[in-house]
Amino acid sequence: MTTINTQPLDRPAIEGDNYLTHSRGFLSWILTLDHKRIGVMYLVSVLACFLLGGLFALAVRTQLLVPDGLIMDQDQYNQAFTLHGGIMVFLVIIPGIPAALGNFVLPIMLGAKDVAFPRLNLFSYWLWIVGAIFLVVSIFAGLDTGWTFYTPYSIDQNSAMGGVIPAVTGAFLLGFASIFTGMNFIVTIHRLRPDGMTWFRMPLFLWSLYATAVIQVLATPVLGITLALLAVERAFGIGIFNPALGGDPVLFQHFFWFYSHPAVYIMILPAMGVVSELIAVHSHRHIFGYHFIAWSSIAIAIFSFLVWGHHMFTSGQSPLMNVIFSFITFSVAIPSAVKVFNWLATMYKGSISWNTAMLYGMGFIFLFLIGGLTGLYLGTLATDVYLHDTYFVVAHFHYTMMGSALIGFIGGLHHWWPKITGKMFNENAGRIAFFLFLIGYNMTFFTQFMLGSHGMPRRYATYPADAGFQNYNIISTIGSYLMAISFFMMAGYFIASIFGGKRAAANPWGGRSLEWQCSSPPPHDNFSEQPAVGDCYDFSVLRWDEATQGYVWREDVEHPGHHTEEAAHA
Amino acid sequence: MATLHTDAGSGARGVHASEEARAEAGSLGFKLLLATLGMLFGAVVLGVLAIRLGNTSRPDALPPLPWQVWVSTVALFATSIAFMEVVAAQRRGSDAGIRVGLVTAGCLALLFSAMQGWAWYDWYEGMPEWEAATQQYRIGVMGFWVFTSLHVAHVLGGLVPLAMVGWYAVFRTWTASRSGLLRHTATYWHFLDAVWIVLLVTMLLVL
Repeated sequence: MTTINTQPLDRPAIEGDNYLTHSRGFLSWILTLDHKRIGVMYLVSVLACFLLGGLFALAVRTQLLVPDGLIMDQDQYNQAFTLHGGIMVFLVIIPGIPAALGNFVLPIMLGAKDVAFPRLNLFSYWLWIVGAIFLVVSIFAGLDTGWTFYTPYSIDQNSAMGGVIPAVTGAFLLGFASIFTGMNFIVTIHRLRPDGMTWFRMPLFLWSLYATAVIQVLATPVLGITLALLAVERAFGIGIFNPALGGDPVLFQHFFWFYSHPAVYIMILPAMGVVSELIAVHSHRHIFGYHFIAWSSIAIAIFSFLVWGHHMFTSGQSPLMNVIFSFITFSVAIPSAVKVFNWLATMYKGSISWNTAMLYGMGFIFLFLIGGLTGLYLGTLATDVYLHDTYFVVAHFHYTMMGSALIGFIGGLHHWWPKITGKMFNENAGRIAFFLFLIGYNMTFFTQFMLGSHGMPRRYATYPADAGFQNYNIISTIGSYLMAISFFMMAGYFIASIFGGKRAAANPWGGRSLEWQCSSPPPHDNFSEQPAVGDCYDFSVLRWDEATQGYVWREDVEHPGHHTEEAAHA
Repeated sequence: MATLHTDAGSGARGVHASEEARAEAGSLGFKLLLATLGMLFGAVVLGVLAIRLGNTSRPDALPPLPWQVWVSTVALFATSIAFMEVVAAQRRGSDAGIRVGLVTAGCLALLFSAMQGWAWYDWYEGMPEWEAATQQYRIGVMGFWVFTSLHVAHVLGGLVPLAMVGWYAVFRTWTASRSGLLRHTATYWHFLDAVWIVLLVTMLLVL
């Protein structure tokens, strides 16, 4: 096996024109058709929303430090957790990897110049911004329904909360932004693959984005129309969700979860794709079971449409349906486990570089395992009835959504940060922030499993002083503060790297996929000539190069580009 | 499979290798759009079906659909037929046929929208009388608004590409590169026809 040198990088690598310097000025950014700039704009927007949603999370945790609540009354608390959930789900986790990292990386990884419809891509971004504004406006108008907008809370015309219609309008627009992004990705993957880039030569991140895009295109319209119906139900009383008018509030739940369970996979599938890249690249070892991981993404996408009823075991749906949904829910464990085992097998006997990105990749496996295994308790009918609407669900949800999807996003951000900015961040600071995060994370959410199994309900602003909940809540709140510190630390070293970081080489980690064949940051058109497509997980052909402080092609191995040229001449 | 074109490809930023490649990409994107819209309309119909099947308060006599609905239905089908003629004219290379067909399709689409508006007015006028009777089955009356407004929103959306191809056909020289847009516009209107049949049958039999 090739010995791979992982010396630190301390010298500039690539100079010249790139997508950041190609044109200048505010308009050149907001009207850009360049997928990389659109990706960066999404990234900045998503991170701004993450700050806002995080502040609401801290407010919620601070409130629960003491049994009677510390800083809010009950109405304010209802609004705080609603906005935390709404912002984090719709504005951070769903667009985080596909729209931000995906937009930046997908065409380059594929070997294309841009996405198939660059104008649609820009339109999606601005539609997303308008949707985000609507959603954030609901902060001022009042929104206390929970991020799920459950009826009958959301259709109560006598409620003082005027934020429901702006919020659902926002989610509606965000949904269509998501659909257009998904359409763009599907067409790009189908139509813009260069010569040699067959389906099974695509990096696994692209497989996951493809599976995600299918869900976005087919499931999101259902959410869109559901929210539109919700808005007109609230405004005009059409009698579809309101039982007083002959409607059915449980129908809303069916529609909502028909989208929102697949949406869980919209959030986590791209993160799994990121982790496949992180584990392989930073272990410097060929991904184990490529085909299994690729097909498991598609299997998860298919299963995602069949399990929505497990959110509604206690809603009164028929026992037969409960059993069916429970059974199918367990089936999701199979493709999920396929991925985990293959990641572990990839690391086995690998030459692991303990880079920050790799730590997040391993953190993902650890947290996803906890999130996935606790999901079995909730997929089991008998235990779900007991645990329903308790903090156990909150903990499970956060282990999958934050501990997995968000960690994938953060890991991917570390992985591609040198490519996006052309600068290296401080690895030591990154490692410290990771461990701070990991400790804070588990303090925050593992205690919530205990709280839930001891019976503390979710979405309550106060709790009885003698119920034994306070100690867990204190630990959980301290953990959330540690996480906040780690995130601010992360922001600090990322910002510092932009202004004072070392120049990044084209391939600082030793990746084989095509984005590592272009400079850091990439040129405006991605590649000056047709990139050479080969096995994107065969790292044995790379060696560390002192001169460029990055990985380069070994001289004693034939480059696939040369082979292609010879074939073309023949 | 595509080849990277760093100089002058087709489409925005020259991402497509050729006009044909761009048209193929557009065609796939269009199919995905129809799949999205199919899911959207399907969800509404399923939702109303669920309410209908689960509701025991449905009154025996619900108001009949306004007569204008039938006129607009004929207009919509005629629009589709006009589009079929346009596509046939394009195959024959008849510019005059394309122009006449598109103008006819545009007029029929406007007729459809106008008749829907008139139907809405009539329905609105009758509502105070029916609302009391249908208080426990409000979707029976309001479903008309839900279905027709959702459909007419997509009809209005379809007027945009229709106006675009119409503009090119009447005021510019028709080129082969417009044929993709024309074909997709025609398919979209056929899709609207199909959706309307489903909505109309649902309104007649289920509401």
